Amino acid sequence: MYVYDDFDEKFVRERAAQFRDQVERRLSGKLSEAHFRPLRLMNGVYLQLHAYMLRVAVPYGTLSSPQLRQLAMIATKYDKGYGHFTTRQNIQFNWPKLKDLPDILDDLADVGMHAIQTSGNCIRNVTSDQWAGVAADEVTDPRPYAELMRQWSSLHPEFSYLPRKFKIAITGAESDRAAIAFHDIGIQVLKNDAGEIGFAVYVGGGLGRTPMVGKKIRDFISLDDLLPYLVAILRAYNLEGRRDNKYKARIKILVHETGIDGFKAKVEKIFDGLEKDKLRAPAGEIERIQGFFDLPNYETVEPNPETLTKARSENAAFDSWVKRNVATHKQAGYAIANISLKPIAGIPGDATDEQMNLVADLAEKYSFGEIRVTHEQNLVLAHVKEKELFELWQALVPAGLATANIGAITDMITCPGLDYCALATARSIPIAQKISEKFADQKRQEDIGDLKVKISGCINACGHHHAGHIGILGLDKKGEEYYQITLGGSGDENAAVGEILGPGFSGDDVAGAIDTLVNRYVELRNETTETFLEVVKRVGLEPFKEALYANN
Amino acid sequence: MAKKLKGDQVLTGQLLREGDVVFLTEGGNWSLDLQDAKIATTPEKVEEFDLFIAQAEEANLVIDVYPFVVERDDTGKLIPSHIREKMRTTGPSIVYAEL
Amino acid sequence: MPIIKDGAIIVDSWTMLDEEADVPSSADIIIPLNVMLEKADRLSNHSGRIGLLIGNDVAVEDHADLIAKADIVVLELPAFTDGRAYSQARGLREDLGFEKELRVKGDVLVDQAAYLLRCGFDSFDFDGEFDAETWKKSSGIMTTGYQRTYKDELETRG
Ligand code: HEM
Ligand code: SF4
Repeated sequence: MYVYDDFDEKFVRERAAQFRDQVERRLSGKLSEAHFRPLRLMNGVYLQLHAYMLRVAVPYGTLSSPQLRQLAMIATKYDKGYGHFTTRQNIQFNWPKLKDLPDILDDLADVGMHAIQTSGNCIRNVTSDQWAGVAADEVTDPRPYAELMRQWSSLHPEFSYLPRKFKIAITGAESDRAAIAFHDIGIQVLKNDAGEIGFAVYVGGGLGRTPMVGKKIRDFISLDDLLPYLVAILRAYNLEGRRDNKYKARIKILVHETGIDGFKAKVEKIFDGLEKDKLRAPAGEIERIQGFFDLPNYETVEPNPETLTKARSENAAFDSWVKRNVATHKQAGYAIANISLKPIAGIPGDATDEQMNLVADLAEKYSFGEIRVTHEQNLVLAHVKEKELFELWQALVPAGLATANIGAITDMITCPGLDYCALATARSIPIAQKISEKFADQKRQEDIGDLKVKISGCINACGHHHAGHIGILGLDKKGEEYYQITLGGSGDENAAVGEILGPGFSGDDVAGAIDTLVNRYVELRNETTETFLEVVKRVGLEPFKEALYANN
Repeated sequence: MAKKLKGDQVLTGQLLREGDVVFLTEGGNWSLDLQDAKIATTPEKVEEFDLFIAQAEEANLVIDVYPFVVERDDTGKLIPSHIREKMRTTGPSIVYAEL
Repeated sequence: MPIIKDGAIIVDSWTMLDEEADVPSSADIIIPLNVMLEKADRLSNHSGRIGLLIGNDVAVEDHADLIAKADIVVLELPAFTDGRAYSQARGLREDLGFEKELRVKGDVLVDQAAYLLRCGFDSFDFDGEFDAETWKKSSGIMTTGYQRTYKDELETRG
């Protein structure tokens, strides 16, 4: 994985020093809150419901063991002993004090991490496929390009005061595990017939109050032109994106209002006029970065070893875990082990300092010291020998990290909601907990199969509810929480926005309503292999509405 | 500017250095405990909060200052009327930090 | 409203021209682009230098000819969170090759000075108070940057 050189290190240290200076000026009164707010946001510092919150970037979701240990240390020393992994592959600390934040940034810099642009109206942390580099279905590892964009976007002199936040995601695979269609810019790495790397570019996707699926703006842009092309898109947006209304300020609205053809024309005009040489990556830079993403030194090991088969047949819980949480690796004899942060009735995405330390140790022992954070708020050990899966699982069990539910109904994306978030209209976490309890039975979960439930505590849609097969949106009705249910959304390569089923439910009734919907699905499916989305497509929303509302 | 909401109101904000939620007291200080809060029972009194909001900003001690509506429960304790302020006053409703 | 250049207050000869005000023909004047477009002929025997004030909604590449003749261009920062001038500046510098003085006028924060300089601005026409000490300390903390721009005094890679 990428390791900072002297230049990167100097850069983040200076950035930390700059923030220390800004905090000092704020505390001494030289900087007003109005002026400080955008500056702190650009460094990931929010003021939340009960305290400040710090969002630390985990660029494209890759962490080393020492980095994860440092996050655990920060949780212990400055927070209440835990952190929250988010759908944008970041980690949030819920209780830091402003006066401690400069020290925390220094501690992060010690391990080559930062909180640069994890909030604010600038280019946010670039996200990617959590299985990058090891997925069996990928053209190439997208992370070198993600790293290139991370560097290019950091403290960008031109694009730090955009109309609104700007999110970029990149995938190197046909199956889209990075939700590129719901990003301001989504990028798919391709290879042309000549074997050259290039990129399909999508623009104008997003969730929030007006969810939109991104539209293709270029079929294939060469590696050389990638950064200049991004400059052209961002310049068009920076100049023409709406600044009069915060809710219409995202690029998706500009693209929608001008139409993709009109927007593309603007971008291409700017692109043609650009003096491109200076905007490209410096010579040799891509190769330098790529050097960090060479595959680890895999050993030649026997695929599907007998020890594994035996352990699976002797231990049903382990077998369930392998079925749900282990994915195919492109190297024979190795596997991708997903660690669920969704224990039954737990808090989705939270991990304690002890858990972080344990995973850091296990990564060193079994997976080349590398950890991935997924947009579904779980962790991944990406290179585990199949013959060591059982040992790994045994180490995870006592720490509550062996829940066998990846992709299952209890693996919900859930935003912090009204338990933490100042913008929330309702709680999300307790809803997830109730649903999780309702579907706790492993057999039932396995019978239901893959099903994505996603929960947001307000219209901002941080919990991706629009993209959930079943989406839940928490709202406020005269001071009381209530929840709207949507059906049929999808965040993958067949991206779609879910449709609202009907009147909402109180917090106590949501889990029951989900139960009803799932039972209906199970009745309706032709075979156990017919997925939830396929059934919704085939029968429409009516049968589900009927199930939910018939008795009322 | 203080909005004229229905009902008795208290003034809240967060400590600049720490981020903790605080409430304006009768004595013009800021307390971590809602029960210490100064209560405005008339529109005029609510209007007076504006002064404290300006002062808080000036003093650089408390930020994000605004009023909200409270009521009393059976035991006479002050409680916020709205779910958001309830959550803000009592802290997360879930068991966190000990997974 | 002081003018800041190289971290210090300077006094220069530029006068910002309002719509119809009479100025001596020898004065160095800055004229809003729309006024210039309408009244360019009236300025034909102006002997002082002429600069342009360009609004945020102007596509600079549409006025390349006028800009090429200007002795100074002033772009606006109506709010410190409004970043359009940064893009206009880079367009002027890097794509149109404008090399005379480029000034930004408005709600400038010291924390933005480095970004503005990197986008090609030379001087600042400040709304707020200028504190030379803070300016010196705060605007110079970052000595590194990942992007290569028109006037880059920062260390870059490669
Ligand atoms: C807790 C403090 C948070 C605040 C104040 C916050 C604020 C917001 C706002 C205002 C939006 C809407 C933006 C728009 O539509 O223009 C948004 C969108 C979003 N946020 Fe958050 N968020 C928070 C936490 C999170 C967390 C924890 C996650 C990950 C789990 C997250 C991920 C996202 C995503 C994925 C979107 C929608 C994608 C998009 O259209 O940008 N946010 N957030
Ligand atoms: S969806 Fe709303 S409640 Fe949830 S984290 Fe985002 S802003 Fe907060």
